[in-house]
Amino acid sequence: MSTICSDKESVCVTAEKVGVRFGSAQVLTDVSFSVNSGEIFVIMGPSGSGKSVLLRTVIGLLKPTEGRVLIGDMDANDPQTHHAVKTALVFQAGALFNSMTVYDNLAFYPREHRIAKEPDIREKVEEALEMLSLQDAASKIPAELSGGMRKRVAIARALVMEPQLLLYDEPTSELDPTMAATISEVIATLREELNVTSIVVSHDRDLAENISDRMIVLKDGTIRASGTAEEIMSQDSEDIQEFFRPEIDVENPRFRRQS
Amino acid sequence: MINRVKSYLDDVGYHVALLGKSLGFLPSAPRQINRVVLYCFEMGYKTFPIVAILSFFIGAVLALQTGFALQQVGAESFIGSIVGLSICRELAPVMTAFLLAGRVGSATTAELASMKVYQEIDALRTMNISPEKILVMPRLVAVFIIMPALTIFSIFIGWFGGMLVSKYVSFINLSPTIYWRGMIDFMTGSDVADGLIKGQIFGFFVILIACAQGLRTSGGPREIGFSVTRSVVVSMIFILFTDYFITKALL
Repeated sequence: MSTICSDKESVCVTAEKVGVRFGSAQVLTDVSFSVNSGEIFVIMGPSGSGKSVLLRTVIGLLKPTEGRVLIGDMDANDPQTHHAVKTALVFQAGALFNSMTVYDNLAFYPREHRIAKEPDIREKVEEALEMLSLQDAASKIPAELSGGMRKRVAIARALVMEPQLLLYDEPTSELDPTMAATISEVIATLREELNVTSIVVSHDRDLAENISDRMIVLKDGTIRASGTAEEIMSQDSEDIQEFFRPEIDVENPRFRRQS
Repeated sequence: MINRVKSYLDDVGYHVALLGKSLGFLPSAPRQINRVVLYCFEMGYKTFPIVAILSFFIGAVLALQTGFALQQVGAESFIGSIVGLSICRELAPVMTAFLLAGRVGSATTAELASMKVYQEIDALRTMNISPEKILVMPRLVAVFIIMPALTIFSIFIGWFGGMLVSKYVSFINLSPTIYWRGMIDFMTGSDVADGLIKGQIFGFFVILIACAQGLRTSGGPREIGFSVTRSVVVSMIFILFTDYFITKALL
């Protein structure tokens, strides 16, 4: 497994035979992959396949029971890693700080780490708000926002952190198609402009097709396929076909209205 | 049974680890001064009124009860000393800690549990910001500052309540001068200091327990309520349990 790790702005990620167990439930088994610097890597799979657990393991929120995850050449669970590498996770539900305004949510990271003075922080925050069309929401609190807006705020908050590694947990779930397309564009733009290494967990086939450089498909906690989106979608494997076929078969609907 | 013991020890271990981690961030307390001031204000502002009401009536009832008994043997002059000692050595620190657990501890647990359930704590960790540093340590510093003030306030209000009852209840009718004189004659500075030490220990651990219970919450929103209940119950048991040993050590 050769990983390109040379870029200073972004980092590579390597998962080596990762296994995660909660009590008697084995959630992930022998998961290995590598993500190159500046790459967009998509993790797909049906619900309950262990995608989000894998994402939390990659960012160090969970400790694998077997194997390890390396960010660059450092263990993801070592606190020093997060001092050395800026990582950010866009949570599925946003995980915004509910007691703060949107503006303060975005300004929280640079203020806490004292990495910039207040005028510079304001400039950065306003730039992120503008990029995600959130200028009007700056003074609102997260409870006043729609699900889609909360997700955009979460991405904007991650942007202000200027991460080298950015992880997204279902960034387009619960969004209308237009907003989902916007989020896909934002993820792609971030890679182009900032060369951020991105790992995206998603159900969204269009997102995976449009933005991924490489992807893996998880099922029952194991990798069933890996490669580019085209390579995977052309595979004959039943698991893959089952996952990628259209959700609603118009010709043969499973549920019929009873007359 | 073994699992319950394991879970109990796990809980104790978590509290010790949380205390250690939080105290490890003490050098950064000056940088957290805004949060410390905010928590001092919240703890004080929220607790002072209820402490005042409770302390006043505890002092008043204590004077009434002792007054009723002592006037039968003509020993009313001892009311001041009895009320004074009982309040400052025992009732003020214990009751203030109970109120802190019910008023501030429960709110703290609810806030942190909610942050945990809604992944705000995880978000902090991914930002390389320790929740112990910004959520626990400033609260521990704040309670350390505010608890002596609350306890002293409780002591004085309790004494004052006792004095009013001693003076205005007809069957006692003790002059304030004799009430205060009795108190001064029988009490020393160490009695007040012992009360303050107790209050400090109780207050500190009430907030530590509240934070630990909040941060250990897992599952859905229903767990927030369970955590709050657990936090208040554990705090109260802790106060009653340690009260005996601290009292014994201070005698």
